Amino acid sequence: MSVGLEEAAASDREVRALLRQSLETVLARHVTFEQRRAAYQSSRRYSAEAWNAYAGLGLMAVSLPEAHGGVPGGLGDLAMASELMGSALALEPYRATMIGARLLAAAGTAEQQASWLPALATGARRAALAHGAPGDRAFAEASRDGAGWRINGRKRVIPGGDAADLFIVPARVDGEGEVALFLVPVEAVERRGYGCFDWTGAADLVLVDVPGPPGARLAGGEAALACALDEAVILACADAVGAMRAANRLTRDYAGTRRQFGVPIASFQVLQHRMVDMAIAEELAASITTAALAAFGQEDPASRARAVSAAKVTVGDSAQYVARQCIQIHGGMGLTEEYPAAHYFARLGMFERLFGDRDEHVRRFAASGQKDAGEAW
Amino acid sequence: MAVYSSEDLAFAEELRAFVRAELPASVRGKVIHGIQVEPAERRTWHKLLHSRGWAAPHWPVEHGGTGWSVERTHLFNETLAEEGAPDLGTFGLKMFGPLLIRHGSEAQRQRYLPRLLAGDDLWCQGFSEPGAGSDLASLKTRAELDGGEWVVNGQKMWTTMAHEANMMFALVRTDRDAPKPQMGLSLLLIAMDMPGLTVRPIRLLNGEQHHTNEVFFDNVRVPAENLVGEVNKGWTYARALLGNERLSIARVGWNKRQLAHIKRIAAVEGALRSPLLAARIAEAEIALMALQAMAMATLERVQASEALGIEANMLKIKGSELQQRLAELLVEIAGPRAVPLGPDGAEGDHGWAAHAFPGHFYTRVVSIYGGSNEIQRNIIARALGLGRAS
Repeated sequence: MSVGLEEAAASDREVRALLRQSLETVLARHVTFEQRRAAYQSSRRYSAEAWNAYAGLGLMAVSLPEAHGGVPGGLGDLAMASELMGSALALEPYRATMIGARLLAAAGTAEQQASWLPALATGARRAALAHGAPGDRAFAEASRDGAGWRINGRKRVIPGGDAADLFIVPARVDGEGEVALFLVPVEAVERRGYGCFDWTGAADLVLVDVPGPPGARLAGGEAALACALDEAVILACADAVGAMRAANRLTRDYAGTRRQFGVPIASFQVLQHRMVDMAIAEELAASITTAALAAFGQEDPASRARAVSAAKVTVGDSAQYVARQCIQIHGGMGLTEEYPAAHYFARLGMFERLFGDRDEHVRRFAASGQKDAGEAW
Repeated sequence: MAVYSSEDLAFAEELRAFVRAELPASVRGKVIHGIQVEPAERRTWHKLLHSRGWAAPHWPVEHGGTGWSVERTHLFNETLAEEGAPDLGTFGLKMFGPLLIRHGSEAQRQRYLPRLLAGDDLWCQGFSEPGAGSDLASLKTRAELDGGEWVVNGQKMWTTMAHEANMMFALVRTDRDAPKPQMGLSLLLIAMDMPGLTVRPIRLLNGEQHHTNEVFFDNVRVPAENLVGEVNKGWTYARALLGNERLSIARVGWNKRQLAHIKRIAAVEGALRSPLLAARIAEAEIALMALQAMAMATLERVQASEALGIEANMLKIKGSELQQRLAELLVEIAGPRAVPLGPDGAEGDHGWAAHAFPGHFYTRVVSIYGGSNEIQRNIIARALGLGRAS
């Protein structure tokens, strides 16, 4: 590595450390457990104050093109932010918006970028990738209509979809069989928004003869989509790592203060070893997420897909273990709504339900040794 | 990955080529199948590495080390393991050498280090006893000064390689009235051919493999100059064995080699046609990637702060679990062919299958030795502030 690059890396680290510090402050001020409860009980399902505070930091601008209001940064910065939000159980549609915005920046036309990215970068608008439900391979269909398109189909469980102003809709092009991506503003679709079991928001879409003007199709297609989906996985991994870190701290603190039989329950070796295994699970998940992030720089979709699937499986296994033992060690308290343990359980449970479950990623990983990977799950 | 420089990676490739060119296929085959190599085979390999100056890369340069970075040393160890090179004996080069460099007298260093480095001496570690395993500090083998000599009486157990070794570094009790058991221990260097010293092999279930022993001491007279450092300070020295080479405890290289072995066999045997088995192999490979990622993250932290904390204990647990899992996987692939034991039962092309069960069985030891995985968890628990067990 040349000296210049090392200096650049060092300054990146400093910028990231500053961003981290600022975001921690914002989360401590706007995403306390009580504020969060008020937020998920509101009709919006997230906190506008928190969202505006993220915007105030310029968080949504990070890694977007500077020509459209972005600031320098990379996927690693987004992973750092996602991890902090996972720890704080943040409800805001940050990851959904960033996945959408980055896909637009990578695959959108110049006009599309100019008309949407500035508003996404400031947080004035939110985006979501309307990929579909886990295991749901049926893309929407787009048929040619003069110079433009008509899009029909259904999309289920789009994270952040309830708050999005703009959807990027993958649709199979009639007759050609290739997957194209379309920009669809929320006004053009029938949307049903709802809260999920972890209190975050999502939406289902019904697209009936949605008109796609000629300028609605993105320049990029399947390769860009595959990359965006891998980014969605890795940011979800980072979020889960954050949730695990917090759940483990919570559990250790609780075990240190909760007394039974006249002693803190943390003095029982059986629980000590359990909490050690939880810490190891966290460490493995964090390490493999970092390793998979490095695979994004290599511009090789097959090794990226492999690294991402390995991360999804490992983080998922760790998440399940931590979530279950967090509740177990808290006893009955772990099941109540008024205490965070249950919320971490739900957050980590959501990880397994989105962006391809364990079986799908084991399958993709196993197949990647034999044929070209990069296929969307 | 950012951890290794391009020079490091180029070096690893050279090293790979070196091993492939210089290591006899028969020796490599033994290592891959988990068969113990002959002392002469190991010595030849040791001499070859020594001729390159690579016998103990982690040692200080003035004692014959390389002065390599932590990363390069780690990469060297892992690459050799991955390529099926035989282990040169962990106890001498990895444990005893650094200990003597730190705590030994000048005379001891001059006398023992060059021979250790050159492979002329083979050292075993006399720590465990019948009544002192995880609770090592409770050991009872005692040494008493008598006419300028230490007279040693007692018994060591699970003494790996004692049957081949010509030297032992032993923890012995020199003060029975110390306020704490670990305060009365000293470190002695004992020649294995001393009168009164007897080595008896412990036969394990995997039959022909001779790994470990009992060692009996009956009035063995050891010169006073063979005491390392100060009397009754042995426990402190032994505990300070934890150096950066502990990163190797994850056995990433070993696990990589074993996984490659499994995948080769699975491909030849058509085992991947079973989706369940293919999934289990994929899961093992994912576990290996996670282990490697954790080792790399640890290495990065060591680079940043030079301190190695509970990560090494975590790596020991996960690395040993993966070793065991891979060994089991081989038995599963072998199926009924894993059943026959010994040369009569080996079936033509499937010689590998006859080694599957002995390998699986022997691998059970890796979660026991080097501080059992339960002891590792105790150490991590304490570091996490979870307090001592009640």
